[in-house]
Amino acid sequence: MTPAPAPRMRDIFRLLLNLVRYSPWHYAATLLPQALRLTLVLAPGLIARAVFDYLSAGRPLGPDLWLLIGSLVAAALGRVGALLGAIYLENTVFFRSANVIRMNLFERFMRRPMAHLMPFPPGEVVSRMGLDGGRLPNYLSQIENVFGSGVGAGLAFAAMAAISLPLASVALLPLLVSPIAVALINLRRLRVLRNLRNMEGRIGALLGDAFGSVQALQIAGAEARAVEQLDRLNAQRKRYAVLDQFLNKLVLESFVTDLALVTTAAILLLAAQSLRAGTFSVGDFVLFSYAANRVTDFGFYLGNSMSQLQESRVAVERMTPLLSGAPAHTLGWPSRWLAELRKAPAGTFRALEVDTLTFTHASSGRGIRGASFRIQAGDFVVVTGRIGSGKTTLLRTLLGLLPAQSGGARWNSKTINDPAEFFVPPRSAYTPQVPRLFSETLKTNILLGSDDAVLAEALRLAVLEDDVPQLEKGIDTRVGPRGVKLSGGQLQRAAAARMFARAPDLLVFDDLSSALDVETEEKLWSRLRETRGGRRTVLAVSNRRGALRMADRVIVLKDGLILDNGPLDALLERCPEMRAIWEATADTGPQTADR
Amino acid sequence: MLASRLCMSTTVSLLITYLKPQRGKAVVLAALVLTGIGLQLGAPRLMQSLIDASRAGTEGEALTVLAAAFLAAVLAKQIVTPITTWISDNVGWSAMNALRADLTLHLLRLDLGFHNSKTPGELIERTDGDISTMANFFSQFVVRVAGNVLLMAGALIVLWLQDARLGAALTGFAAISLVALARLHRVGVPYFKAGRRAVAQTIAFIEERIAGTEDLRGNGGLPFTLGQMRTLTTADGNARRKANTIARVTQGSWELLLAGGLALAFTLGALFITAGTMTLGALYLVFAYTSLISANLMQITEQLDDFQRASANIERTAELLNTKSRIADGPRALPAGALAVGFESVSFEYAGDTPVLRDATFRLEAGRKLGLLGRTGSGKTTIARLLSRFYDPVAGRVTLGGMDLREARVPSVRSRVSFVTQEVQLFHGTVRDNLTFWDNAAQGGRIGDEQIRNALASLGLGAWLRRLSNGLDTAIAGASSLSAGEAQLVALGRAFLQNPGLVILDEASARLDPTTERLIEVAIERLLAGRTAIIIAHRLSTAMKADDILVLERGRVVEHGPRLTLQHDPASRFTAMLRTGLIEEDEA
Repeated sequence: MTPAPAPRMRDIFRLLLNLVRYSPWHYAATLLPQALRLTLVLAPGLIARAVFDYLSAGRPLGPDLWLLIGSLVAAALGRVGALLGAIYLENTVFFRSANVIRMNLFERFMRRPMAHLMPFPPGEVVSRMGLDGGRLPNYLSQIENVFGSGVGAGLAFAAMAAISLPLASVALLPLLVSPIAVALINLRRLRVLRNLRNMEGRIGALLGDAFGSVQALQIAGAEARAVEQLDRLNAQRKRYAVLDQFLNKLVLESFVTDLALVTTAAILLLAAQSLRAGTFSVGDFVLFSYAANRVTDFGFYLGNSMSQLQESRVAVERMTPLLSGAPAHTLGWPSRWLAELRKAPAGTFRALEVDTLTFTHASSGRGIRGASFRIQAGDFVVVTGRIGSGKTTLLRTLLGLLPAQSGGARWNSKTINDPAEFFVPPRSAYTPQVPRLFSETLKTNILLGSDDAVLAEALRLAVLEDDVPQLEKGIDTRVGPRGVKLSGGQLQRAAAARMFARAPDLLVFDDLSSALDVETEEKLWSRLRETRGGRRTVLAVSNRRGALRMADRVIVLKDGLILDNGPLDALLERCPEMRAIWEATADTGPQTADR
Repeated sequence: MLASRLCMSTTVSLLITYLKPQRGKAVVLAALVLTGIGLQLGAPRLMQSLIDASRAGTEGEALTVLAAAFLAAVLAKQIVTPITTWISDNVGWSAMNALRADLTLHLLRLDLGFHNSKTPGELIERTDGDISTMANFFSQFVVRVAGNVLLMAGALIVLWLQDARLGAALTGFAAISLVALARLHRVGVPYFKAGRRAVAQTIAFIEERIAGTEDLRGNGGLPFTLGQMRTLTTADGNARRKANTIARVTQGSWELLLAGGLALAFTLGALFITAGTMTLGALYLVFAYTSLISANLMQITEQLDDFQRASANIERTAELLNTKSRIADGPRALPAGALAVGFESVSFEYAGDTPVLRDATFRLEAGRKLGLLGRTGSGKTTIARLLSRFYDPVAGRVTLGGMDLREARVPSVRSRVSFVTQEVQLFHGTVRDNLTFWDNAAQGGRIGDEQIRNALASLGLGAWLRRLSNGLDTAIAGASSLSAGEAQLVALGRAFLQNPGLVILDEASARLDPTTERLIEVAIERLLAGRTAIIIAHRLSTAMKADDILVLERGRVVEHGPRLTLQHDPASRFTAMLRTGLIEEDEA
């Protein structure tokens, strides 16, 4: 996989813009309670000013004072209501945005070109999808806080300016200084953040490995050593995490909050002078001491949002490699892929022509070269060859799970442009060498959303009908992570049933029968051969005699080249490689005398 | 209420356990926090004297002195705060990492029944994700909450000193508030728990599906899977939104209480000032302190949010820590050398399932090799799992070297019994790490490179090792980077380095090229020399190397004896298998 280009700031802003465009009204709605909440924050200051002025004037206690004091509680009630509303709306829009990113990441990743490979260990992919997907919406929430506190700060400034404009202006000074300090520190923090996220990914990967191979660890008694590895990585992560927090703190507390405190102090000292000079009332003084802090809040949120932008940047850097080349900004907009997929028409299958298909693995130099063959509707074609001859590569390249370096295929004489998107039901279904099931019920695993009506026939074709009643809860048995609760043979037949449930034109098997006993295998192939509205078309990789004997034609692969292609009997006569394979598989197939 | 108190004690005991080793740092931390509080309380006092001085028309203290004092105080705070964070984060992370290590070790040691019911994705989320949300709790909670409690106490004391009546009234108010808040502090916990559960489900889903990409894509399962993902993420978002909103009720109550406190102070202040028994400066002090506490409220509520979140996760973590392995450790160590194997009327079934072993009895003398034959599902793998003590029999006894396995120490069983599985589990790391499970000299472990090389050489794998691009340092990126045959070689190397007394070998079914196959054959022969061995054979050639043959059928031993005897008995099942060339016996 080619390394993804580093995302630029422009891409990040486009992505953010897309997120806002995706939920414009949601974002707009959150601003309202935000503004209300942060506006009401100023209320205690204004009320206190009035109370102090009232008392310092030496006026007798009257109902208007009690009204003032009562409004203090009323304002608090309003603030709390606005707070809960703000939190609810903020969360709504946060998860809406985070989920569109996660959905897109997941979809993109599931459609990656080299489907059998992962750019990172699964634990790390998961950490990137789960955590990094939330950082951008988080930034947007911060922007809203900046807006809300900005409104609050504006009002605070207005209230102070009404008393003394020059003094009020002093309160704005930190807003000029702190962003620069924050930006400078963030430069340093970016590196730390990258290291921190990298370490988080490695820890996810290690944990994934450890829990994924727990049996091997237990056999080797290596549980404690795995934890030692974890400890080592954890210690490194701790270093970065603490440094990151330190820098963050330095930004937010020292250069924003505390700097603002210095200005507040300066303002208050100046105000105190005015107080003594008599140009300031005690109430004015109280208001100043309160309102200056609201300007500080704005500075805090501003600085915080700048920090969050760095986190977003690192998050986008980490998500980009999962997108297989799609631009990062597409993450913020719902994918049209599913809708387009549903529109794709399917005609009656007549023939598949494979033409000089070539793919070489960069690492081993092995692969397939110039593979050409033809499959008619109703054909049963078996690809055979020794290990490393390129059988699996042939299937994967044909199906677009590996990118063909040259050549291609035609379906009903029409060239297939994007095989990975083309070779799906109802055209074809595929079971890889080591099939995977998921921790759902057996039924869900087989149907994958297909209609219940097809279940019985799929089970019968897969020779699974006798096994199902033996399971704990029959067809509704949960098969456990990766299907561990099934035996190897049951797992392979469940994978076969999963294909049959889609009733595709073309069935593609990669060594399906490796864990089946001969009797079951024979049954499976012969049930597939029953004619029922036309014979099923099969392309199977196998070295087993059961499959070979069933084939209309056998394709013999050697070192990535198609050596021969024809009926088994003819090949056994004319092709030494075919004879060698036939002999080598004597152990696992019934004797030829059976025929 | 009981549950709440129980959890409180879990939380507190967890805090004590994991923060105790950090005592020294905690003292420094406390000192720093106290300094910060002193500064915060001092500033409004200065302002108060300023107001009173101006009201009285006196000069009061020199303004410049005040200004200097205030600035010095703020600057000091600027230095103190990041240092405090630095130390408290270190404390918190150390505690968290210790908890992570303990939990991971506990989980890795749990029985396979547990692991067969939890996906790795969920466990990653629970060991790392759940505990990460306790970061704040461990590092900041004590400092912040204690700091704020001290701040409030300090403010009240200053107020008492200023005006006992005001101090008494506000202290009473604070006491009532705290009681009210104590009732509210856990309102979000069940919702946070539900939220975390939803997250773990999503994560587990993603982890499993990305590993099965080809299966899903090839079978047109993507639209369905995307639909499932949408349902999960939506549920997860809704659950977390609910938790986040409800948790803020606590914060809202704080804000209301503070406003009430301020209203009370203003009312009393108005009465006292009008009566002439209190100065305006003193009222300012009350106002300033309330604002101070209000400003810190943001922090406190974040802490309370975190506390609720952490409590939810502590409960989830405690549940895991309290999960007991179904395998109870025994007191004795297995003897050295080749081990004899005995099965005495052993029956076994996986939870709630049909029996997989029924009354199985056989003996295998030390040093002999047993070929285990039978169809898939006949119970072969179960025999291997019982011998590795992944499970205990439901009835009967399994003995090794004459000792009931239930009496043996689990680590001793695992070091004396080596089970080479068909599917080899590899992890991301070097070939060296994969062979030794990190127990190598390069990382301070026991096994040196020379020993690894010798082991591989005696298995006949010296040439294979030399072919690897970086020798022992060659990186393995999970199971996909080695061929099935090479993975098998690594597994044999692992077993050899372990030097076991019993080797159980689940032979890889055909899929290997002839060169690798020969390599493996040689390696197996060398590995088994001088050891007791049980071979789950898929190939005739392998079965023919066994001394004894045991045929299983639906969990019963249907044939057992020396290979040569069975081979020469024309009525034996083994002869029938040889005749038909079938190794997996056909029942038809």
